[in-house]
Amino acid sequence: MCRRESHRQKTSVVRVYEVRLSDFEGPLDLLLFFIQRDELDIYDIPIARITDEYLSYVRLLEEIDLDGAGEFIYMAALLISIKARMLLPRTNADGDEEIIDPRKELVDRLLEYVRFKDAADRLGLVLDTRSQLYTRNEADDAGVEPTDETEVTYDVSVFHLVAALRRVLERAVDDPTHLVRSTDYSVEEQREWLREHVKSEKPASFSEIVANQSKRFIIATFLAILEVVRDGTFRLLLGPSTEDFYLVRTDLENPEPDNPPDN
Amino acid sequence: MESLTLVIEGILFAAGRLVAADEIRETIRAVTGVDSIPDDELANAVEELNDRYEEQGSAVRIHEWADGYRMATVPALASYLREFFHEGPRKLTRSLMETLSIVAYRQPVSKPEIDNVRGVDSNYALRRLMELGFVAMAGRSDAVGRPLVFTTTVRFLEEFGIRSLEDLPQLREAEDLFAEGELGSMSAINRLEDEPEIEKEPTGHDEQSESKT
Repeated sequence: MCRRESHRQKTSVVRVYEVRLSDFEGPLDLLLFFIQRDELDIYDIPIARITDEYLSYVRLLEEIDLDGAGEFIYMAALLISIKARMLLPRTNADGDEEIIDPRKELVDRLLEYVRFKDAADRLGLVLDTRSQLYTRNEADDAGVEPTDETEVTYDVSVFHLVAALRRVLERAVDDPTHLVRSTDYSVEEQREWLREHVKSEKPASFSEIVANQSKRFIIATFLAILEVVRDGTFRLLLGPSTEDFYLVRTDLENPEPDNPPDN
Repeated sequence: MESLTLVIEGILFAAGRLVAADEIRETIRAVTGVDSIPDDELANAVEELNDRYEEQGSAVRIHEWADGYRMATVPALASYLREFFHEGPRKLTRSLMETLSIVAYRQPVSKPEIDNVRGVDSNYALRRLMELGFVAMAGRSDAVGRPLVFTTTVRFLEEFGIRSLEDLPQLREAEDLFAEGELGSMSAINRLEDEPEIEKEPTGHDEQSESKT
């Protein structure tokens, strides 16, 4: 918390949160992310629009090969089938049965998921309260997964990062067609590149460090960022907008990082 | 015989673990022959002890968790004890908390049912929750394919400080959540700014909130 404070003073970012990527989030989270970001009415989801947006994200997820992109495919198929059904004239042959909105199944699932997301949040608060109380034989109990500071997860979605990547990619220059020499960037190279380019403790803006670079370069850099965040040599700060995020070196302020091995 | 409060205090102090009401009853019966002390008499004795601790400004309180009793320190001492035990914050990741909630509210529940609610595979989360001892397998359901079903454990209730499954926070209706605008990660971010407020269940000993500094 105090670290967060100090960054708040150092940067012009109004509200900054640390982000960690250990938590995988699923297709329902992604849909909720759209609905909430654009303040859509969940009972009247603009399917065409959300399907297009969803698909563009899934393509991006596939491109950066985030683990588990496959789990998004089923939802993509469902969205497309709903979109198709929405286009069909919805007449009722019998006349007495109520016409079922093709979105109903999806909405019901989202609503159900939201309930458990909320329950998980509140159960988390229950755990927080209980964690203030210490019993005898605490060590034997081995507690509730005692975690290192770096394991603390804030509720910021990986989609915020992907959203930022997407904005940057939209602005990125495409490789010019007359370029003959192939420019492949490896994630390893970009890790080194990051270490050379982000040298101070000052948060570095992702969009600035990859400004005017090609898409291949940006994606390789983005992947490299995911890796350096995972191994703990960098931390991510996310501002209030989804336009950008910030990188902070942690191996400088802490010469011997005592990060636990990831699960 | 010694007073009930004295016996309870002694057992809870020395046990250093969760003690079921029945264990206390059985112990007293074996020593004194006094049979079947009613639940409310036990509860009253515990309340009396807690009142006394409160008056004396004691470091401990007795809590009723998982249908048993256990002594624990007051919240005001949390930072000292965290330091003493060299502990980090105790948290579960979101995927674990989500999976745990589904098991808690839907138990007994099968893995396909959990996966369906979450929209992702819960294999890892379930395995991890079993390793932590919060979730256990509880046989098979009668549904097609007779899938394994999972329930929460006594340890879950104890580690979360919940008296019994009936005392879980009420599962809220999605409609209400949307109305309150409590949906999604942005509102969760906003809530980070605030001190988390716990709606405390009326447990009979409300010292937690009072001794909060």
